[in-house]
Amino acid sequence: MILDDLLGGFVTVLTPANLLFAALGVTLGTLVGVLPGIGPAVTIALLLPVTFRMDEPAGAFILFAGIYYGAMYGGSTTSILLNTPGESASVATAMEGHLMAKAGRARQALATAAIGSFVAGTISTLLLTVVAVPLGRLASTVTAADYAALMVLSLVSVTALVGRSMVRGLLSLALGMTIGIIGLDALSGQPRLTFGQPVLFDGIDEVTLIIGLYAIGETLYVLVKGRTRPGRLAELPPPEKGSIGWMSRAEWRRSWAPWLRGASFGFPFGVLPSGGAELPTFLSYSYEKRYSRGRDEFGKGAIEGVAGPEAANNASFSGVLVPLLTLGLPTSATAAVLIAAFQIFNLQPGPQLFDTSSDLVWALIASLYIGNVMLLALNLPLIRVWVKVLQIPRPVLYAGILVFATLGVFSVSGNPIDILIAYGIGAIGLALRMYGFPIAPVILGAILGPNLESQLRRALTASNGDWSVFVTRPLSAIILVLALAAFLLPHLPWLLARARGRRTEVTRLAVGDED
Amino acid sequence: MTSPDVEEGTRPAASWAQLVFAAVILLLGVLVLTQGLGVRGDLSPQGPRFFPTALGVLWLVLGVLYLASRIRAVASGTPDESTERLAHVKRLAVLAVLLVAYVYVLYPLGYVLSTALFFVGAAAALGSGHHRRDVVVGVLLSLAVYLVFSRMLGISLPPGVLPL
Repeated sequence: MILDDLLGGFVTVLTPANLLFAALGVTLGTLVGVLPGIGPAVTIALLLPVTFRMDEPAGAFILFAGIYYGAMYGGSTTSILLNTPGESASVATAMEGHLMAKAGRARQALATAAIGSFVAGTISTLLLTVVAVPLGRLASTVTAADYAALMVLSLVSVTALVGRSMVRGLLSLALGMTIGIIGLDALSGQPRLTFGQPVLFDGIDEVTLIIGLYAIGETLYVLVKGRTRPGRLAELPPPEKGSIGWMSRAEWRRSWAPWLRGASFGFPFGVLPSGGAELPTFLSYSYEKRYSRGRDEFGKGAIEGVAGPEAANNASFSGVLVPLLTLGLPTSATAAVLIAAFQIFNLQPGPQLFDTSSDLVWALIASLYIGNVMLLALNLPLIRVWVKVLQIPRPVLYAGILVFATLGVFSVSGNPIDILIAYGIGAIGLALRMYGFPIAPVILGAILGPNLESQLRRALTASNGDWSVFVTRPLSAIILVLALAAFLLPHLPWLLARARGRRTEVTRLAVGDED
Repeated sequence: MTSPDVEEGTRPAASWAQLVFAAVILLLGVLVLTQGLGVRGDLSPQGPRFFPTALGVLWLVLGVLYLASRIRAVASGTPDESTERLAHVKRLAVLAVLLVAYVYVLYPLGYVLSTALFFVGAAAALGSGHHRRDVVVGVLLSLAVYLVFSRMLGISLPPGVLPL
């Protein structure tokens, strides 16, 4: 049954046109992923307009899947050679990876990252293939109250588990949700937070928001930080004799276990609403640092410290696709952009997607297998090209990003006012970055906030305004308890110390850094 | 974040700037709350007025907490390492003017000309010293984008004054 569907997906993908889209996607994705300061979310947002005129949504999604994977591979290249994580999920890779590169072992680091990504990506895509349909069936029994609880969990965990300050994270979230409800209320038609401006009646488009916050905000921030010259690239010595795929036998032996462990961190944390790839990459890094065979080499360039986090990073993407496809629930900023992409084609991800657009879903899943193979074939041999891309003069790079950001907004809306709105949002993004506020909760709040509101209203209408619907159903109650746990988890060390009657300097755990 | 591209040493934001920023956030909370309360209808959670109002209250509470934490930090004299001082104000202002001007000349001048001009200006504002290179890149980039979008993707961009 699943096999038939999957084979059908491969039939769709293995047409010349769609293979071309896959190849184009992974190349564009790697190209943009290599560039510092642009992650997969903004890459997809910038490339959305390219797909407007495509007749077949399948081609567009094959392109996007390629871009996402490519951006992740490209991000690891930059982290290793330049120590400039293009996105927060690559921060863990940069730590040991750049040390390896400085010690003349750049090729080994790049190889273990790329091959590990391939292994973990393939394993997690297999898992996605197996669990998607049963979970989709389960998802169709989910009620409005459960949905609302799930969204609360998703929003709380992104805010609480990623980044440094809880108050700042929650303020970012509040800002995002406020931006999300600007416009006419879908049920009553009343204008809300529009300040009487008809321009705002349609609300603020997700693409405008994402391009403004990430592409424009980041460029302005780069200017403020005076980050206008590329850093020094690590040397890339020729491959050693007797190595297989740039790695020696000993390095293969040290890599395979971290790959598998990374994949087993990445997939489940991607499925759970926990903010995407940040958490599993850091968990994998800490695990390898403490328990792996090479733990004594950490701080000097341990190959396990690259193999594990990169595998976790890649595996989490297929995990993120599970709630995205089965529930329509984005759990990371990039997943939120993918939702916007689905909406362009009038598709609503969720329990019905597997019935209504089964071909498309299976083509997307099949393209993940293909994209992984292509990247493995493309990434390492073309390393000299990516190194050239890394040396683009920064003023040219960022001026180009501004041009493409403007083009992206213009081709979505065709209205110059929306470009000005995007610039304004860029200024907000600059302020948020300067004062240490995370960006991802803004995006997720803007996309999930209105959904949360409508599910909340639906649930409460069904229960005649009785709030107990959220705790009487076991599923929603459990999800809300999980949300509370995610909220408290970072404060655990502090709470424990207080319980033992000690005051401590450690106030909270922090995982990763914001995008 | 670990040291990215070469960057100048940045300093944490000044105490007054942090307090002003926190105050602005608090004021925005007030704004959201008044806008939420301004929606017609009762405050029942099924209606359109409940969610924005609740959001405004949440924002106010968080804003007070944030302002309090800033006041405490400033009073105890600990610099906040997660913040940044505004630098390169002149360049930032130039870039902002260029961005707004870009939007206004987009239709009259057309996509290719305005984009090429904007590119050169923005690169200069971002610290480029190679103006001749920027002109070449800007012209080629805007021409390529225009041709790909209008001829291949069917997305019309303003043609403007150039005979394209």
